[in-house]
Amino acid sequence: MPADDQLAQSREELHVGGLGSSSRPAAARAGTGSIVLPEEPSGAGMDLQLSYESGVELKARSQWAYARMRFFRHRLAVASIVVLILISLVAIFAKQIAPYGYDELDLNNIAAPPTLKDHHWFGTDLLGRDYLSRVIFGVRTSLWVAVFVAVLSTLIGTTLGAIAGYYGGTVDNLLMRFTDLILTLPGLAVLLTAAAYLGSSDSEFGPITLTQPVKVGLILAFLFWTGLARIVRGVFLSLREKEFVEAAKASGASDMRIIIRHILPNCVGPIVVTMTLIIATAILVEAALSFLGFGIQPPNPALGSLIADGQVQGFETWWLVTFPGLVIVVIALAVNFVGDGLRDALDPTQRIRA
Amino acid sequence: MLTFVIRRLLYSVVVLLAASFIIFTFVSVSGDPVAFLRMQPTASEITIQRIEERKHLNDPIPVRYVYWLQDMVTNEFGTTTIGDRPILPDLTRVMGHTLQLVIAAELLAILVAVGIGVYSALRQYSVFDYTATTFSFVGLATPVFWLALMLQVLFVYIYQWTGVRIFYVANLSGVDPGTGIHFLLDRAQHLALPVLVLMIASIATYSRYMRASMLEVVNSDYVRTARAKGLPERSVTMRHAFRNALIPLVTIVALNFGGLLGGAVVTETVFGLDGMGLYFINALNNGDPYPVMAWLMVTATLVIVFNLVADIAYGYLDPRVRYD
Repeated sequence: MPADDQLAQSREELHVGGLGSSSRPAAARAGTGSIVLPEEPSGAGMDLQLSYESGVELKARSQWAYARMRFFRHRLAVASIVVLILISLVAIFAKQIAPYGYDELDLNNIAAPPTLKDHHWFGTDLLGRDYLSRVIFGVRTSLWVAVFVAVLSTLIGTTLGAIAGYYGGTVDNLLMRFTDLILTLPGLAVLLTAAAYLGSSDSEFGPITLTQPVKVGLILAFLFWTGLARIVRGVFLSLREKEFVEAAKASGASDMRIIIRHILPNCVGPIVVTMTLIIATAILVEAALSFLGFGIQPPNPALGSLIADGQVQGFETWWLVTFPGLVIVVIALAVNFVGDGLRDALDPTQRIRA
Repeated sequence: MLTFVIRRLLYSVVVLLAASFIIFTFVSVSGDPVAFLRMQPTASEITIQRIEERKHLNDPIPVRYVYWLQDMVTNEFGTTTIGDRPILPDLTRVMGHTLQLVIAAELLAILVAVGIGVYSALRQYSVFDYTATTFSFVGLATPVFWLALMLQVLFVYIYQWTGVRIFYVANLSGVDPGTGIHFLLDRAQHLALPVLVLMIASIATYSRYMRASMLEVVNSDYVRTARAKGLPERSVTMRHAFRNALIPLVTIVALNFGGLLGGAVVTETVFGLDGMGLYFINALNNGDPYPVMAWLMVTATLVIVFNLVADIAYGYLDPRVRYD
């Protein structure tokens, strides 16, 4: 047996754990050739043709091509991406897709259980509001807030992490003390306090109006960036002494250029993975805040407050509580699977531990 | 070791002071604790003035902070703004309830999660392993409050269909809980669902950690050595692998436990349990800074203490860890 085969297999075995990997070891064994090749050639332009002594044709691929391959092999992650895209489309085109308006009353169907009649798939509440439509609008807000939180905290976390890791010194010290502080505080309590006292209505700063969901997003982002900052800082700390950085410095590259062009690309994996985790966490935390009445306030729709609405209306109308919650579970699960797939794809070494 | 603990504690005091000042400012700037009273036609101007005077509400915030700090240290967290109700007895009561809930849930969760994690790791890629993984993925994606509500709905319907009340879905005690064994039974029936909710949330996390650390240990050199020298498999797993695999779990459990003592806010709210979490939510809703601050100090202290416990326990259990 050529050594390549063992190598391919052992590499496969590194991708252990997690869902959906059941198919993978089998797939590796099924590839009887000496190296597992995908059937379709991808991105012909950048690929070099190499041939090994054994005569096996090999394609040299860029790091990204490999990452893409690994990602698409993770079937659950691919399925989750499809689900997420569908949900996002529904959220974006909520006004066109939702059968009813968010606050529209259908007085012929009050407290109707889930039925296909009149499109009340998720039932209606005691006022005759269609819960499918309400959930669609709720997803729109909740997803929007989650993505906002993820983007913002990624920007803050990456920037501060990079600066702290690259320059060290005072910035680094301040950053680490601050993340320590946030880690020591009871997170939910701080969130609740902040949301209760800062985020209950729109506020205007001169020409800029911060809508209430944006404020909730800002509060969440303020607490969520620290984890990423630590990760990015770690990578920068370990890479800034490397030869390629020294070489870049010697050839006269500015600090800015070294940070952005030379070191940052090495953190893309952890950054992207952490970002998906932040999205999932943000959705869950925002839902909990809104449920407790401290998150997104009416009239803005949100999944968490829909559940609270449903709870108030009693146990008879179980569908009002069930469906918004199920949607949260589906979204959070899908995001987590995508994160899992991305970690597989971008950072295979981490796999061994998880 | 001792210097490590002392340094950490000193640092924690600074963190606590800084955090408490920030939060005190937060709460004081944006909330008027007597707003509710002002709207009451029965509350006279003099009453309100007296409250404002007693709580120094008209002083600048840093001054009020110092008054509060003084009150906390010398007067057991002081009293509430409205009603002048001592805070400490309330806190002690709700802490007792939260302790019952959290200790029961965490003990059960650890037992189950350790079992699941170890078995998953020993039978990696088995049907059991995949089922457990699926369970924990779904568990991590499920909002706790929603799970609690679904259980409530389920047991309400079971009660309606069968007429048998297995568990209560709200409150901590019945109207007449009785004494002795009846009281315990009543309490158990009330706590069962909240405990279950907290358990599921914890199991989803713990079992993943347990599985990962068991896998790491099982593939380590000293376990291979133990096998190579001919020890029976049972002794290899239980004595050499299992005990070492538990170490990372200790940290996670300690941290999580410290956090939960602040009250499982969401769970307690859904089930109407008179615990730390509900106390905090009520205080927030009343806009009264003093109980909020008292709660926060107790909770933050507990988080810090359990962080420290986690670190010390880790060093004790794993001699490779050194403090400097």
